[in-house]
Amino acid sequence: MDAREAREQLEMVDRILSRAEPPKSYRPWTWALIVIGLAAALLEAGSQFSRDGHGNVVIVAGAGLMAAAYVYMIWVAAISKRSAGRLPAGEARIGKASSAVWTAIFIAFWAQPHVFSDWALGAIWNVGGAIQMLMFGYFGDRRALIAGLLIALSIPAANYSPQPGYVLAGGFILGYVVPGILMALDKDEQEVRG
Amino acid sequence: MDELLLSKIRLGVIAELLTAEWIAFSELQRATQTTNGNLGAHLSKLVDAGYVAEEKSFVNRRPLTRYRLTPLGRNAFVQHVREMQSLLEQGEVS
Repeated sequence: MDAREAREQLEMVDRILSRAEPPKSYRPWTWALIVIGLAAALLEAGSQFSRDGHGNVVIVAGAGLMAAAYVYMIWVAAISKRSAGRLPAGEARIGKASSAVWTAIFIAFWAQPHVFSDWALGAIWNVGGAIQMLMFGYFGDRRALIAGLLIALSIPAANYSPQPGYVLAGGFILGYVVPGILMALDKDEQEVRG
Repeated sequence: MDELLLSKIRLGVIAELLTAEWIAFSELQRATQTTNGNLGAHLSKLVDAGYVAEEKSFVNRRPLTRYRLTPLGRNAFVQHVREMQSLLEQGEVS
């Protein structure tokens, strides 16, 4: 290859990479914002309604709407993936980050009755740790994915334990400290991260 | 330089895949403006070298093949581009 060919090929690469820049900013699915937002608001307002002694009907309606929205969202994602010609890298990154956040929140949701009434200060750290590890996991690190699930699952596990503090701490040790040590000992990993 | 990436079509395929999580065969064909057979042959070489991963599935009973860039392919691309830039700089100096 001579300099002229190299210049031509570099120009072609540059054209392809520039073309990939999104013409506009990415937007979430608007229907998802509306339906899931409404469902979450119903759940929250329903909790207040229930505490005020008016029954659980609003909570049940909110939970039903949330479940239906989740199922529909999974179905739409599957259909979109099947019919699309390409998945732009930017969209994929946003999707993975959002999945990490909502997976952690969804798992933590089941710990509401006990953990988030008395142990919210500790549990919120586990939610943050789970989100972080799940993000690395969804971007291809299987070890981080397992770690993220471990931290997230420690929250509902703590919910049913007589000693929730120890379970939350165990989740952090297993899902954060242990993978941290393993990654630090991993020679290839150190080379990648410099 | 990476012999495999000296081909303009193969380099173009890698550059396209760099911008996406995955791309379907038909979309790659549209992007590279080449024939089915030609693109298929180039993709086979990239898959055999481990630069590109191939995923086959069926959508409405029709086969759908998607391609994604592997870490090996990404590293090879970066290295190849660096070497081309270096060649260009040497050309400009001399």
